[in-house]
Order: sequence, then C-alpha cells, then structure tokens
Amino acid sequence: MLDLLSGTTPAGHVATEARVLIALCGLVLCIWSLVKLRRRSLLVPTCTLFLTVGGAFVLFALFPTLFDQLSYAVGIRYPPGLYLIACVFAMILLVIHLAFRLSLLDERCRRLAMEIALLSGAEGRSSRPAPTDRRQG
Amino acid sequence: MPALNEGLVIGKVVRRVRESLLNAEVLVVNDGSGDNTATEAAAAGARVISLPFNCGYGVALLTGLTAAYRAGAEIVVTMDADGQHEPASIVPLLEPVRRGEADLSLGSRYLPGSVSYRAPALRRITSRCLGWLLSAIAGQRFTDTTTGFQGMNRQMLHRFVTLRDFPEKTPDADLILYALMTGSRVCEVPVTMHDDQGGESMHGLFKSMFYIPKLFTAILSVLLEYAHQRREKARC
Repeated sequence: MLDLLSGTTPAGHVATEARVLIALCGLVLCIWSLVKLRRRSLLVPTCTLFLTVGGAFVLFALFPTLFDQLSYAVGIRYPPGLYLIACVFAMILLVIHLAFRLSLLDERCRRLAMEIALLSGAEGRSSRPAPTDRRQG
Repeated sequence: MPALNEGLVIGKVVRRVRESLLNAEVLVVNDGSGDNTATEAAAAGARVISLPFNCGYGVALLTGLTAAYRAGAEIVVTMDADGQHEPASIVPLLEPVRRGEADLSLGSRYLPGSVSYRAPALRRITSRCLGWLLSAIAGQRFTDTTTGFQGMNRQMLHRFVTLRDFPEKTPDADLILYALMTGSRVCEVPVTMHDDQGGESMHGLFKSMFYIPKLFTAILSVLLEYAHQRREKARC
C-alpha cells in the first residue's frame, strides 16, 4: 500500500501497482478520446493531444526507467520534477491553443451575427415601402 | 446609431436627428436589446437592423457602417443612441466633410466652443492621455479621441468597412489612428454633448479599467499593421 501511495519502491523503481494505475489512466484517456472523436464531440487536434498524453502514460508505465533516463538526459536529477514541468508546459500549451480557438470562434460568431442582421435588415427593407422624407432640406 | 436597451430615449433621439437632417436616413443597430428599443426606433422612423444577440458596441457600429456602405451612403454620421450627442451639432460636424476638407470629422467635447457635461474623472483622464498619445504619433492635435460622434465621407467609410481587422472591441482612438495612417484627413469640431439619459453605459468603472490597456494594445496593433503594410508596399 505504501508503495502505491509513494509511487516508488525504496530502491527507486516504480512499483508494479503504480505502473498498472498509470497505464490504466493512459488507456482510459486514449479510449475516452477515441470515443469522443467518433461521436464528433472532440476536435482532431485536441484528440491528438490527449492521445499523445495517454500514450506517454502507457509508455512510461511499461518502461519506467525510460522516464528516469529522459529526466537525467535533460539535466533534471529528480525525475518527478520533469513530470511536473511537462504537465505545466502541456497545460500552458493547451490554454494557448484553447484561447486561440476561442478568439477565432468569437470573431467568426460576431461576423456571422453581423451578416445575419444585415441580411434580415435588407429583407425587411425590401418587403416594406421605401421611407419618405417629411421635409426636404 | 448602435443601441442597447435605449427604449426610453431612442424614439426622441431618432425624431430629433430626422428634424436636424431632413433628407437623411436614420439607421439604428439594435445590439440585442432586451427592451423595446427596436420598436421605438422603428416607430420614430428609423430603419432598424437587429443583431441576433448582444455583440458589443464595435460590432454594432461595423454593422451600421456596412449597411450604410451597401446602401450607397455618401456621408455618414455615427452617434450614441442615449441622447448624449446633440443632434443639432450634426450639421456643424459634417461641414468639413461636406466642404471636402476632411474625410473624418470628430465631435469633440473638449475643444473651445463645445458645450459638454462634466465627464467622470477617469474618462477625462483617459481621453486626455489618449489625446496626447495620438497627437504625438500623428503630429496633429486631438482633444477627444474616445468620441463616438463622428462624420465621414464614403472614402472613409470604404476604408473602415474593408478594414481587415476592424477593432470591434475598441473602436476608438485606434480607429482614428488607422484613418490617419492611411492618409485620411481627420479634423475635430466642437459639439454639444449631454449626460446620457438612459440605457447602459459601455464605460463602467470595471469595464474602463480593462478597456484602457485593451485600447493601448489595439493602438499598438494598428501601428504594427501599418508597419506591415508599408513593408509590403516597399516589397512590391
């Protein structure tokens, strides 16, 4: 139980229970993304991102030493530190991506609303008599 | 005339504008109002275009300008629907445009000869600061850069309507700067402005606090866009 909570054995290796849990999380994320993609409720770029994250979970669960080696290779002596940095970086990327998508959609939505209003206005105008001026100046 | 929940005053404003400009068409853009703004404006003789939901002042303004442009308008006046802008000032506002001396005429509440209510301190300070900034960039003195009381000719209208990125969030000093950068002649005219008589102000305290940095970013955006256009021209 202690091994599962800490995620590592005293020797520094990832406990089997923790590896199973991480792999399951990765698999659930991948399956959820694919189901959402099939139902067209998740965009392909976002689905790709989730699949990548889920795939990374599964990969590091299957080959736990790979994560340690990667961490040492980039100069991080404490491997969980790399995990936190990667998470923060991924979150920032996701926020930037979503902010970009939101701005684009907001812009398109406003333009569409404007065109609808103009078309409705033009229709209303053509269906009623032209306004006559009361006085001429 | 962009309008949001101005049912109490819009009819009176439209009637007064029609009395000031006898052969002009008054166009009210109803920006998703929840009251009887559209019916009151139509009853007063205005042509009403209704946005399907509240899109903000900039979108309503662009909608009105686009409708006027498509209708073949030669001269256009934009003004607030809350009765703040005095319709009797429209004629002097349009004089420089009619005489061909300016493409865009701005109604100023700070020029000598203008009659104005005492605007809130924050708005006055913001307007002055923007005025100094715009004057420094453009090399021409401006006193009221946040005025929505403007007159323009078709050439100016064409430039605004075909602008690639119309500043829908901040159609103020940045739009004036764009006009100046594209070689348009811009002038200021003293006008009469009253305190608003109803509706919702688009410049509340919290909105203003966020609006000012947005406006500075928008000005920076115009400068970058202009630099980009110059580089493109030089390349061609």
